[in-house]
Amino acid sequence: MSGRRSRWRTILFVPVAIGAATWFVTQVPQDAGVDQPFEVEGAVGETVRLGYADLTVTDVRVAQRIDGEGVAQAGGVFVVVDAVWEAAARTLSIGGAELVDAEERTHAATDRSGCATATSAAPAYGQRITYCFDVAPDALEGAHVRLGRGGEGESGAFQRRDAVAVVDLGLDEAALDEAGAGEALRVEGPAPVVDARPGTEGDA
Amino acid sequence: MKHARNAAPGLSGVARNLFASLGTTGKVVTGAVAAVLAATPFGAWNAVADDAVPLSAGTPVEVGPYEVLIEKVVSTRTLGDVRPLDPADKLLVVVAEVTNTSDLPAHAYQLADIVPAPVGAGVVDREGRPVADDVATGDRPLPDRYNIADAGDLDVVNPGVTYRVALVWNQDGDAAPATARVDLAGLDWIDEGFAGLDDEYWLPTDEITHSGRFDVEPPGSAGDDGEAGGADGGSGSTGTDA
Repeated sequence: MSGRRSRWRTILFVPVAIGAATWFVTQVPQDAGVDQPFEVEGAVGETVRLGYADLTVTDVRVAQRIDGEGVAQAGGVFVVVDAVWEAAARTLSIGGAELVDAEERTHAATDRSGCATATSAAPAYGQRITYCFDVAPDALEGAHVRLGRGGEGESGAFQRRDAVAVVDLGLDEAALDEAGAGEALRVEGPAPVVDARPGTEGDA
Repeated sequence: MKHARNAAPGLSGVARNLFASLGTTGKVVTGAVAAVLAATPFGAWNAVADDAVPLSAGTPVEVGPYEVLIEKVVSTRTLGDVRPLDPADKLLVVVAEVTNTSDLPAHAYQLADIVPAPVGAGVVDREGRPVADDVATGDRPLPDRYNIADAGDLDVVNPGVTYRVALVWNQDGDAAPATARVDLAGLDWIDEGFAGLDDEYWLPTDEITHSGRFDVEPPGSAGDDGEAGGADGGSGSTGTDA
């Protein structure tokens, strides 16, 4: 009898232990440092050093229409962000790009009309990329981009404990005047540049 | 030992005895419950179109992250540069306005999950086979999607942004329906998927949430002349030729 009781105790111990551990993990608040990315702030024209790569947002433009591989018309307005990536030590993929507005709404980049949502970067030379975000006009004011090598995934799953650049775009409603209904803004796909650093010859 | 075995009739024996002890009404009710339970794996509990909220032209409704407004349904020979797979067929176009009302970007491909192929409009699949009216929502052929403003494809719809889109199916060349039933199917937000393997996404339910009959504008009608194609400007599309 005691052997059978001991076996039942063992069998019951497993689900009880799993349940208790699950309860404990969900109840104890996690330190944000456990799974949050390391944000490195910058501004347009500044080089942001992320450890694995340097990033320079070289220009920010606003347009109703863009023209790369055919003309694309914005549902809202296109925020066109030109950037240059230069890897620190080895070739790597750059897959994270989102625009966050002042209300914390997140916006994904589009690959319409030759715009890129991802690229690769290598050491020793810069890789130019143009990100395009089709956003509502009220998203311009106070908008910033979050650019990194990891994609956003689920709740930033691929950026956990990794560096991400947060670059304020310096946009306001006046930028809408620039968007206008004139000629479509020319955009080009990713390509290497001679030197990514601002102020140097061959600057992107 | 023999009489001991006979004393235990077993589960089926208990059920048989219990059923025999019921009155006529009890037997009927029990039989009906058993029939529904038996039909459960075959969709006994699925939503049907009759339960759907009425849908009409120009009335916005909320589906998943989108506000969807069905504008009209058009039958046309061509839509700008878009042509049916079989030249003898036509295109059936649902023109809609969609707005992302959430705080997160939405995948435009889910518009195909939200707007299944219209029913009773002579839609054919990519092999040219007619699609029966009673085909389940998730099994109807998927449309091609176009942003009417530039005749291009859409990959993402960001918060607060509205697009006028054309959802396009192949339609039997001989079909000339006066009306078609347009359904909208729901999406469920999955905050945390099973075992945490896949979180935070919109899952198609394939259940019809809204349904309504729409007039089908025939080829050559006034509304078909470039409106459905909506290819004003953009990459070389010029509207319909009908």
